[in-house]
Amino acid sequence: MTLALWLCFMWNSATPTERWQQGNEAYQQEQWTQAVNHYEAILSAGGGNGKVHFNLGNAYFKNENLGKAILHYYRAQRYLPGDPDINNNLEIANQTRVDPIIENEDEAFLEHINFIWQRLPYPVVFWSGLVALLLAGAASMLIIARPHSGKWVGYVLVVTALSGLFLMGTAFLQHRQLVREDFAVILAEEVAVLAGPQTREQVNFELHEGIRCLILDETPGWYRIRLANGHNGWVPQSALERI
Amino acid sequence: MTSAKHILWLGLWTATLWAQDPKVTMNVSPREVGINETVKFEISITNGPSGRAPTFPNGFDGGTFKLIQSQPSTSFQTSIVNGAVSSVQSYTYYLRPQAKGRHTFPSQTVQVGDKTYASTAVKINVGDQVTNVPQARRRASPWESFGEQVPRERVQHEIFTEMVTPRTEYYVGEAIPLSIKVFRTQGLNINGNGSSMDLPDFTDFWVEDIDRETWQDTVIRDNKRYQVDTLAERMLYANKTGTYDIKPTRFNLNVQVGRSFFANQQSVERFTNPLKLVIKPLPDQGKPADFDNLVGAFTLKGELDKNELKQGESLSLKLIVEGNGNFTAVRDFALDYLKRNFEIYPGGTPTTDKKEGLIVRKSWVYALVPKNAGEQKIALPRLSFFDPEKKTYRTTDEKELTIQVLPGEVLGGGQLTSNRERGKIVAEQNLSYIKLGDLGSVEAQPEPSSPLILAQVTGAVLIADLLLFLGLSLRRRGVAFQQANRGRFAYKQFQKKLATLKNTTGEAFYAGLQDAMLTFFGDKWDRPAQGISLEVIRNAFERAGHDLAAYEAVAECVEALEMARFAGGESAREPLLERANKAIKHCEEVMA
Repeated sequence: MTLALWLCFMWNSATPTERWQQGNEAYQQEQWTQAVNHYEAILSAGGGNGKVHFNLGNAYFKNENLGKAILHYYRAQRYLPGDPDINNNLEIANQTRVDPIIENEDEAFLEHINFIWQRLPYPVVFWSGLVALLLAGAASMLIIARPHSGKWVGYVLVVTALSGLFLMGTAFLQHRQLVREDFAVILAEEVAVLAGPQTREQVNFELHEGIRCLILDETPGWYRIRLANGHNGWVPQSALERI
Repeated sequence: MTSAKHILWLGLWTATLWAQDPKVTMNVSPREVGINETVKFEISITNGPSGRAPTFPNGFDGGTFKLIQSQPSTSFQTSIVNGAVSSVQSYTYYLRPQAKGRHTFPSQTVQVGDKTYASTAVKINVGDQVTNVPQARRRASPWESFGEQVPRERVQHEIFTEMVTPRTEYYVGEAIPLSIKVFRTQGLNINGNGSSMDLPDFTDFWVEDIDRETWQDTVIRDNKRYQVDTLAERMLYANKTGTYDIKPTRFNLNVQVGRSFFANQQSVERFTNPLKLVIKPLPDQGKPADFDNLVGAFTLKGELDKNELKQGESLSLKLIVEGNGNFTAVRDFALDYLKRNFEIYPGGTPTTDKKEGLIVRKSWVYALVPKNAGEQKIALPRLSFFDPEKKTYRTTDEKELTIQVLPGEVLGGGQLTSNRERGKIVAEQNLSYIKLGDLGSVEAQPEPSSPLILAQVTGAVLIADLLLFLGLSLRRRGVAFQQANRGRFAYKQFQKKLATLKNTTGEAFYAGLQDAMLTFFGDKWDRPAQGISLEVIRNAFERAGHDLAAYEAVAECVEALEMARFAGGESAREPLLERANKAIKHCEEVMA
């Protein structure tokens, strides 16, 4: 009994760094469940970062829990946008899904129009934008106060103003994606999407784990979701988890 | 030389045309005519011998249709696309029906070059006399005024719309083709600009847009010939059983008679008929256990990319579903039954092919890695569906593909690695490894700074720019105004200079005071101060008739200034400033 309590205490008293190392060791020894437990313990203690979510996603993937794996890859992306490992594993996990539904079309479009969208983290975009705008402001004031300051001030103004505005637009788009909490991932292996928030409602279609969806509405015990292709319906809250 | 080249080129071009086999198509239209109308028999010859009309070795047999003219109307077109020359010759024969009823236009044997071609016999419905709306008359010629006036026939055009489905009863999930057509009398045209169409809501139906171009046809209705434009086509799939009323489609059409630029346009509103559709449930009898709401007629086939491979290598199995029906219900196949002999990697997103705007083919590619050597059988999955034409459930045929697996390198633990195409097909092999090293910070992620700050900074910068610009502009305007009104501000400027002189001593003070006094007069007369002297001031006062006492005060002040400068000491500064101020003030009053 004492030993059990001591072990329990030791288990709970481990620091996040120890948990991290234990999780990594368990993963390397292909003990996927234990790796999941260690990584989850870091998160349940209130901590977490992109690395933890990524490794946890990998452990879940190896443990054949596809829904959880995709959920944690998406969470890792929030911390480490543009990380090639996360993007790669998320793509692999998405290919493994049962439902071949196209992912969020908005983001696909954004990736096309904004080449730094997935490459620069938000703080870098924000602060670069701020510096560029301030430089543009200083250059513009110099031009107004001393119109004959030279061509280079004009070049600085144009370059910094354009980059500042571009970065500002990018920051708005990135921030919108970062703060929105209405994206979720289906965790149930298979779930019927109903026409209404009651079990007797007609089944619109069925979904399988790993699909990302948008939460449109909420009622006790139920979420109304929409997929990227526009299909929508109601699912039990237990079938999904917010990203 | 140039002519010779042209002749050679022409010869080569003609030879190219001759070298190609002619393609002959024959068409009879329309299939429904009035007794007073004509039927067209058209022979099109692609890349045929030029200038030679086709012959009828067995003679032309029009059946109950009479040939109007013995010689056909001909047309000839040549085109060059990517260097390839092609020509199309058309020969059109016009025939008139002799009696009403359903007649057969017989098969015709046509000889083109050395070859003969036969058309198929065509059934043509001949109805009552068809009333055609007469074409709008052209603008009258001025000479017609001198001729006999013929009363004009009133032209009455018609336009109406229809929404049609082939039947009114369908099964759940069955494809319901819906067409929305506009019927118009000949000569009445619809202008795309200003025309619109409001489709009804197809609630409770899954709707697919049949993506093909608008097409035209002609039909006879109530003994009148109409041109029909099919403006929209949809494929509906009912989700539920029951009776559904589909509301009419509303059209707002901008129509005009003829195509003249000056033709009057008119906007008309038209509504199609509403539709009533009865959706029946699928029968329970004979429903297969694996039935997954698939309705239509489908076939399934499989293709392998190779017939022979080594253990550990992969092969691609392509599963293709073809047919017509609700393809959205055709899902990815579970090939679990093959796992005993193969490692299976899923097909991912399927590829779809369309024909005439509808999905007719859906395919998946699976990667299979055989586990055992020898001849391996790959049984294709089977697909169960309800065939609404035959009103029965059907299942695709049992099919099997064979692959020869040669022995490969097998490592311990049964893991196969020989010649595996890494990074191509086996998804898990490409999984990036976990992140190692330090954990880093696990603090809760701080709330990201709002990008509104950037917008606010931009706004603040713009406002600062604006204020700076306004401030500098005002300042420049003030300076310019003072420059333009030196005389008015001379005394004020003098006082400013006196204020600055209070803090100066020595030579700077005396020189500054003298300069201030002379600058006053310079400003007054808009002249540079360097040219001003007491003599100049006196002359100017005398010329202007000013009181010379003011001048005297200034002269005395200058004299006192010189004395103080000569004597040195600082005690005379304040009285000098006061004296100069009084003298200049006096001058200001006098000169005002």
